[in-house]
Amino acid sequence: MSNVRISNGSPTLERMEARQSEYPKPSACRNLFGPVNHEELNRDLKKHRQEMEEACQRKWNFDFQNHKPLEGRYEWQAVEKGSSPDFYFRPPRLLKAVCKSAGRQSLDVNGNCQTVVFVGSQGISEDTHCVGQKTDVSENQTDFAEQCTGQRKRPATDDSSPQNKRANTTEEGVSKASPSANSVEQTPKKSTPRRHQT
Amino acid sequence: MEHQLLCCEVETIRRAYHDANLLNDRVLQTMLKAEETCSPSVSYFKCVQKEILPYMRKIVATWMLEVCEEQKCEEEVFPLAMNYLDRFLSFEPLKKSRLQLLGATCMFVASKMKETIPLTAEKLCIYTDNSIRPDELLQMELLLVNKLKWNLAAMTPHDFIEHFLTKMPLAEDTKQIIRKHAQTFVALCATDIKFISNPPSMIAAGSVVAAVQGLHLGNTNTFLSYQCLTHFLSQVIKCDPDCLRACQEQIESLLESSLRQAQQHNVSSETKTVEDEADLSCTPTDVRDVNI
Repeated sequence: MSNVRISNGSPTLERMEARQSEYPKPSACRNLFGPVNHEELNRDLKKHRQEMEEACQRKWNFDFQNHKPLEGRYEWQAVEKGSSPDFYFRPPRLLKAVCKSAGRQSLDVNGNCQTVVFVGSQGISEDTHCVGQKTDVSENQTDFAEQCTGQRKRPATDDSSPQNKRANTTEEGVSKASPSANSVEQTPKKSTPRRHQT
Repeated sequence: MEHQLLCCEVETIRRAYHDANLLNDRVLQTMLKAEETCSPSVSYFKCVQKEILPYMRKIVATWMLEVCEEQKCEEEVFPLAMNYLDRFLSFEPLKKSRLQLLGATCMFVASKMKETIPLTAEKLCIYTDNSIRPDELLQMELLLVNKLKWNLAAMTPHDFIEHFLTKMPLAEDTKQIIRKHAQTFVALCATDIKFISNPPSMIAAGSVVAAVQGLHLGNTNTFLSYQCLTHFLSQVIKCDPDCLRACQEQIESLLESSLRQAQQHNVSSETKTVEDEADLSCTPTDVRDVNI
């Protein structure tokens, strides 16, 4: 029974071995539903991204484009270097394997992917307590930017996600402050953060 | 270059052992509750989608399965990717021409969730015959995870199968063969729209029963006799035995029709190229294995 080929043209494989590294078999490489209008697609994707950005901005009262806190339920505060777990600053381990799509960094570089330290939010579990933390901005911890670039963590994208399980920093806590020269030169090292954030 | 790199590193896949502490009743109960939260809407073709029709889901699913098989993905990747696809389509109307992009993105994310060495965006784009670009896939990924509210750890039938097998008083090699056959059924179910309304636990139980039946294991082992097994599994997943039987019968008839199609495909393609033939000869559809 398990020798049955479910899909036409697909061999039954024992999936115990490692992934094949060969190039894909031509038969499986096919376009299913005709050509994609890339221009239109990119426009739509961009629109979605903007919507997500706005939702994010509203949710966290933080202007991610300009790295400025806004008025709202959260109060933002800069973190001291070293006060967050090392986890957030460690460079990623698996640079090569992970960062295949490094070509896309352009996106990371431009506003959206600049992650910000959510200092204030450390103690705040997303939806529930909105206790005002301290104050201040996390405008420029350029020093962080240095260590933080490489994270494989996806920054603040939780926005719309109402999972308050991982109460704090886990996802949102990456940092990297201003799009300074500093960050520019690091971006190439960024491994995964392929445009999360938005 | 990078392909070579990957190739050198990947000799064998390392897997963790099943953790006995996670295969207990408490976890199972939690899973049974949790599976509801990540289920797609049953009626999205009617209520949400304008361009996308059920047969298109089948086309994209078949392609996804093919890619997963060829890339030797972990078994769970495909059903998980289908869960993402259905859930996305439950919320968002999508153009037909973008369905493959969505399918590729779902595999991309599911593979990251389940595999040590996930599929790359570039590779997936090649599989679409380069009709989509990696940057589009990455953008789509963001949209997808956002629409799924980052609830990516959905239950798959595979998760349940392990629990069932743990509870069954069987020898390890019997379990192994049941597991393997049941997994094939699970993949088969994921390609078919009829099963979208069944929760993963039901698919898992139906697949296990169908596997045991197909293998005629019930003849020699009383625990695996049809009555006993359906009773046992329906209690484990807390459903009516009749529902479970219905599901299992549906699975069997799906298998039958897939086999017929595969056979037809074999016949038609044998007349085609030599290349195809070589390919087929090493992977025949073994109908003798199936007893319906």
